[in-house]
Amino acid sequence: MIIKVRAFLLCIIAFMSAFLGLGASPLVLAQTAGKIAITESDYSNQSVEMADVFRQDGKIYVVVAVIMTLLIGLFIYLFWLEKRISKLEKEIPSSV
Amino acid sequence: MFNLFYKAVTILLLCFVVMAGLLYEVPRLNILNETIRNLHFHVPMWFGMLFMLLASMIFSVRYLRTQRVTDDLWARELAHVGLFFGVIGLLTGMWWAQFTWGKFWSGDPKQNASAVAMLIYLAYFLLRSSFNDPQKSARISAVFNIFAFATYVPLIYVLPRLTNSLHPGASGNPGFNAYDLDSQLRYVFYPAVLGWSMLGFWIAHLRQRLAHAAHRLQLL
Repeated sequence: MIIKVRAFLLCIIAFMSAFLGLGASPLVLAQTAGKIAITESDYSNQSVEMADVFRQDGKIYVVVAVIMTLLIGLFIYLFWLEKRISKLEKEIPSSV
Repeated sequence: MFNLFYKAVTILLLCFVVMAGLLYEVPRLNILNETIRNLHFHVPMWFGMLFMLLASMIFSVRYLRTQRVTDDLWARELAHVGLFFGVIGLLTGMWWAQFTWGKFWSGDPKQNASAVAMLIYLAYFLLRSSFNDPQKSARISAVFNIFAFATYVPLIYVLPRLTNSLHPGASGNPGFNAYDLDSQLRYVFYPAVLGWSMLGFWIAHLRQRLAHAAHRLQLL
């Protein structure tokens, strides 16, 4: 049990440190000599079209995503609960 | 097979309700604005509560006829989830009221009546737990449950409509069906009522199975 928890925590730390690395990478790119620098305007310009669906229409799609995540999480939780109840039911002898 | 089917239908319905309820075009009305979308989330709580309490009452009648423990457990768990839906319905209604009527609680007849109805069902659980003999507890609370439902329906669905109420459907205050006949609201609202109610039955089913397992363990 403790080993499982430790492995789980290690996974989370690895996952988070990967994100930290990604966040820092633009700065590293800009400092490297002889290469094309990524500047602030590359992030702020509106001329290049990007996948911005989640930023359109007052960001309502973000709300949809949040509630869908909540709902699907709830369904998964209910199925998980059901599995445990089924296991419990099987452990009781059928004579009672 | 049926078990998996009704759960799949519930999941599909609720996913549709959340997406369509938030994204579909709705009538642009004063004061209500976007909160009209609450129709698909707040109102189904009360319909779900009504269906679950009705089913609970039917199981109570059945228990009095058959004396089967499972019937009593169904009645108890359905009333429990029904009460939970009522609490959620009251809280969601209070948010809606704050931004359309101006107050979280304005003593509206329907607000007061639903609070009283919930006290009646709290009394049901209090009554259940106040007997040592499980059979006596089941029998007396089954009788109480029938009377509780007979009080609940007029209290929430009839009396508030006879007086002045801020809720739609009361005197001088049209129900939603007065202006949603030609709109898309119904296409989301009916699946919402069905979906949320079925979610309630799903949870009640799990609770009933757990309670039944606990009952069988006691017999060992």
